[in-house]
Amino acid sequence: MTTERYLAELSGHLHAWPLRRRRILAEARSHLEEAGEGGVERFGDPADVAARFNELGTPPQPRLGALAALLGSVFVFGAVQGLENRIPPAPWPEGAAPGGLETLFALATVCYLATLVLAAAALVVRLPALSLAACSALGATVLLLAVHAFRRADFVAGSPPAWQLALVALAALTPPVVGAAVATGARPQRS
Amino acid sequence: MHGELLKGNLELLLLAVLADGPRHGYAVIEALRARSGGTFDLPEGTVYPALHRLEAGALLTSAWSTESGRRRRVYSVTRRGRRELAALRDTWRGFNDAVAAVVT
Repeated sequence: MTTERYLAELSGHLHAWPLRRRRILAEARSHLEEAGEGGVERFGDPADVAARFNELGTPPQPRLGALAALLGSVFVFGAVQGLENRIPPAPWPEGAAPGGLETLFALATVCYLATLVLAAAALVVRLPALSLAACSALGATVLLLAVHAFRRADFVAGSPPAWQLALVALAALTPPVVGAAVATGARPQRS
Repeated sequence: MHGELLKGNLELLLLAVLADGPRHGYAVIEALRARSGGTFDLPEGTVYPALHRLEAGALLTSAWSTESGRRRRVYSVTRRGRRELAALRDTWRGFNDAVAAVVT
């Protein structure tokens, strides 16, 4: 069996996120190149080797989770700025918004700031719990902003349609969901 | 029989080999084979999951290194790994003495 075919078989049996899969395959390739002829046979059955890696689960990656939260927060900031440029101005005086809109926005701002603080802390101390908290705070931010946007659209004519708001909210939820999975070491079920 | 004995003591052996200095996976396997006089000749691919497990337990750290144009993942024992190695050595010596007292 050639090295390439062996690595393809090993990859096919692995249940791992792309970064981890890449590292495992790169290490195996480096080893097989060093071992030369007969290296593939001595490395062991690809299914057995992959099974041992799969037994380990996926180690938590708190820094990657924190980075996902930070990137997501940049996206949320951009999305809010973009929406603010597109929505018509509020027809009510400042401080008199209906439907608890101001409370929702204030809560979202608190969650947003918490995301930044928690993600920065997770980058430094590499605690999965901190990284997960950062992703959760960003998820809460997105949900609060989405509720705010939907409610505001009820009161202000000419607001973007609900499907557009939902699409932006779904896109903004992706980084915290992926970040939480990476931070805690949740692994994909299929290779 | 060697396989089962090896499996139960693989962490101790890997930590002991790496305690002498940082090594990449292939060099760890070579050292294991050489120091055991060829007795520990296990499927080489099975060493890597064990190295990853030790790293996940913060007993090892690793980083990519390029030597002679070849990229390798080099493993080093952490302070925690050295403490664990000392504890595993004590356990092994105690077990070894007890077995020797019975079978000899």
